[in-house]
Amino acid sequence: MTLSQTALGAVVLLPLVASALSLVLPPAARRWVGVTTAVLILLGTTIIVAAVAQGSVQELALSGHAPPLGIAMRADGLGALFLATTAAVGSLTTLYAAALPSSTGVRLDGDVPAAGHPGFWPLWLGCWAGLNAVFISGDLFNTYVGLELVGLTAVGLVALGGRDSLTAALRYLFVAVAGSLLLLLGVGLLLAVTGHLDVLRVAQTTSGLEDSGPVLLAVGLITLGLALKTALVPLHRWLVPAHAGAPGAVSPLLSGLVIKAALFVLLRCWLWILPETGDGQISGAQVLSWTLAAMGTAALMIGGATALRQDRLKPLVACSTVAQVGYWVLLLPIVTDPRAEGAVLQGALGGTVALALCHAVAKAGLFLAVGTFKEIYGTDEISALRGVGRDHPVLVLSMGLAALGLIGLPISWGFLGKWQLATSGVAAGHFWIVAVLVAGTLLSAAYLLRAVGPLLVEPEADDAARRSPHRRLRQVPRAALSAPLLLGLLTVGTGLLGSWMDQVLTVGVPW
Amino acid sequence: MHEMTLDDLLGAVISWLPLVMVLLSLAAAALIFPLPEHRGRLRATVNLTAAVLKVLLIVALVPPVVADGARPEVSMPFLPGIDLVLRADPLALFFAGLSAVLWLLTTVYAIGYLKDSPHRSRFFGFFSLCVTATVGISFSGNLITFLVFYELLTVATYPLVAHRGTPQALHAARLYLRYTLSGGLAVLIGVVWLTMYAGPADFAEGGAESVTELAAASPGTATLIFVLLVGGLGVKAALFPLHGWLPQAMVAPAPVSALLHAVAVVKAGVFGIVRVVDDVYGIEVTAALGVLTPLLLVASFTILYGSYQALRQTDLKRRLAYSTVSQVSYVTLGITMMEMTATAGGVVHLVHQGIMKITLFFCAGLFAEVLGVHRIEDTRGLGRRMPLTSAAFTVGAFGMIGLPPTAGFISKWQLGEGALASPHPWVLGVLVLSSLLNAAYFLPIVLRLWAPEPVQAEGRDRGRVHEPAPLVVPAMITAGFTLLVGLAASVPFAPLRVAEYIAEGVFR
Repeated sequence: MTLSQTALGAVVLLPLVASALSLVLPPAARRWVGVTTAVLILLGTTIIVAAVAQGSVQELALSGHAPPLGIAMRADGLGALFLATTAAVGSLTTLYAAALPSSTGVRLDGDVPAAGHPGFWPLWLGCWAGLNAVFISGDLFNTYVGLELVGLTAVGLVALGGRDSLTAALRYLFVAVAGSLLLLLGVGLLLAVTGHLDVLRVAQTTSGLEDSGPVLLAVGLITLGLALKTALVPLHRWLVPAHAGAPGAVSPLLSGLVIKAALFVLLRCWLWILPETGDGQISGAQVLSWTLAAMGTAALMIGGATALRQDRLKPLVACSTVAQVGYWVLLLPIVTDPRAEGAVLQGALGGTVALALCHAVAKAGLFLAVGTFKEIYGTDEISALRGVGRDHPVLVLSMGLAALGLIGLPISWGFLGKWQLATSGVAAGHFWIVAVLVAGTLLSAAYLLRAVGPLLVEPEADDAARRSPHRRLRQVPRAALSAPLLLGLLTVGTGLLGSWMDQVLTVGVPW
Repeated sequence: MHEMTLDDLLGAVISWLPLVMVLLSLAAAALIFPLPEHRGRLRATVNLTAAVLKVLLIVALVPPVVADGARPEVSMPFLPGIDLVLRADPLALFFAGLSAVLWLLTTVYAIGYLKDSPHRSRFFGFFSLCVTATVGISFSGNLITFLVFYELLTVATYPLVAHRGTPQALHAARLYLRYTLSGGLAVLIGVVWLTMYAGPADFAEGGAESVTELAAASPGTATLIFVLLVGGLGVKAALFPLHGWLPQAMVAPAPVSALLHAVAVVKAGVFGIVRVVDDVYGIEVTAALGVLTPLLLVASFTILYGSYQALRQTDLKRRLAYSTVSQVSYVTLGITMMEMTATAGGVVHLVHQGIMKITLFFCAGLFAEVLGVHRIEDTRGLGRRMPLTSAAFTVGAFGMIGLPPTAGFISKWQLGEGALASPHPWVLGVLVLSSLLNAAYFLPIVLRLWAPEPVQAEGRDRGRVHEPAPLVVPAMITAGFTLLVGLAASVPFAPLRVAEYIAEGVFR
């Protein structure tokens, strides 16, 4: 077994074991388990990404049995990039949660435990194991299991928000379970049609099928389930209360990482499994893809407009997630376009991945910064926080950097994503993508300015509101402040890695 | 043999200089942001060291680039198939030189101006980020690199316009952001489109080859892309009707206004237009597409409209703002006349307008800071109370009108001469009319400054007041420059000489 194969197993197994271990430890000791696990995952991820960047897909056949008999874990370019982003965002959020335990949850009786909520670490580490499993699973059933693990632990994490979050958590539970059931149905159908569960083998078989109807149905079911889980408009109602109501250290995980697992599976199905459509006919896949792109456009508009109407920071940031989900499905009409060639598909995929992963980094940073304001002042109402930027320049700077990425201004990862998606849209003759991107950009600039601007404004000199809002928390640990700042810097810094990431992404693509 | 290696080494060092200059300003920003408020001296040291170093580096680059024709260049992969390119050509040095020198002076001025006011670390941090963006803009070797720094400039100036934090400042900043982000998006779409058809168009004297081919193959598309690019750049360049943000942005502190008007923002806009017309499309292609004359008409109208609006203002800074709308369009006017002398006149006005306008803003800031004078009617008799400031203002105003021997005279002379030789001799009429308007709104202020004091306020002390050195010395220096570049316009490496060299490249 090579080093990278060991790492493949470890990044899933380690957090799972750590999750179980933290259950039996006293609450104060749990965070050390979390931090240690984060460091080890970072190490393992680095090994895997370095190996994939050399140009070869890394594969580990569990217990030595290769598919079709056994089950494989497989890291290609797509998986490696998602894995790496999850490692970065996950470990920085871990650092934050360990440094500021009060951000990890509220008891049902409204009490904030000083050593952190005892449920946070087992749930989060379990969630991390599920995320990594989804990204490196070579097999559809394992993907389902991973996604289920992510969904259930995420519901638990939402519930850490205390009594007020229980309704949101319950609603989220229904969505997560319904989504998973649809996914399971689709996977079962694929198994029945192709006789395989391994993604690559399913893909080989579907491209040779005479009648693509059942495959399309399966992909349709899976897509519907995943659209529920990513909160694609009009299936988005559950997201804002769940993400905005969650504790400070949880919201970034939910918005940044959890919905990315569903997106990852969506990309896998559409780009790997769905057979190519023939020329000159309008296929079911094309209709479906256009429907999804229309939903994405609606998401950008509705999410953006809703964000503009928010008076509180956390719901505003959550609405922004609803909007940004729209960007990630815009590539589908290009994928089903028979005229689109490999280079165009590569660009569209690269752009979408950059937009989604930039969102992971930037949104996590934004949620952490906003959550810190809520920790300090006990409120996230924009009007109450007017001018607090004076006392917290680092937090406002982090928000600004994250906003750059979410708007998609250069230099940031989001800019790369918009650029690549726009250029491949133009190359494939899909000019509408440019219009949607422009509208989305303007809206996101408007609502993010609404979030960041007032924090910088001084209250009027003669105003009675000149006094700062009451501080609940005197001092925020430096380590906790550094997490959102590092995420913000990462948003901008990754904007220089475009060529490298595009190269990584070509490893193991189906064209 | 030994000499060869030394030359090679020197060449390698020089080729890194554009990147070094960008990083230098970035490092200054990174150092300044975390500094505590009270470390004023350290902050000033970092600021001034970086600014002086940059001026020296640019001076060192002038002989190899302008005299020997070297083109130091650094490039790094950015997107698949697209590089970020920083290259020093004469036009780049011209703009970078202007910004470096004026930045040094503005920094001195700002340190004096903001003494003891809050948020200085934030202010100077973003100030340095603005320099970074401007240096990047000037050295950009292709449109994508230009776009990256152009957007960085937008983002970095927003906190400066909003600096005071008053509702009015915030409103102006929001308006500024609305205008410039929309403009930036138009440029982005244009660049995406152009890149799809013609690849990452490198700036080249006479235009990029791939763009020439595109214009020949599908002139409609090329025209549309041109309109998107220039329309987007026109926002920062304050071309009518995209100029609305500029007078509003007057609420910013005086050094910021100086920066917006003379060095960074509007200059980035016109500099971009010069690049697109001369180095992306090439003057011949632009003319063949039939977009040059409409642009000339827009520029002419903006010149007259800006002057007319300036005439109507009663607030000093607002009058200066509309005057900028008018004066900056001289650059566009010059390069769209399709004539070498006029092009040189337009390009040299990049620098001339900068030094003249910054003088005026420095002085307006001084009047406001020292005596609280904002309105034009209150300037009566200031010549006796603040003689140095008033003298500097007078020189700047004479420059704007175009009286000899100031820098403005050189610009207008070049432009006028070019207009007569060009296919559009009527432009001379625009120039004359504009100069008359310039005189109509600047001369009354100058006359008021030196007029005897009003009689009424007798009880108050009307004697000479102290003019703070950090504020008045930069103003005097730029006023001195205004005279110097006018008197010594034909000395080697004088702005006019370099501009003529650039113009020769355009028509090669």
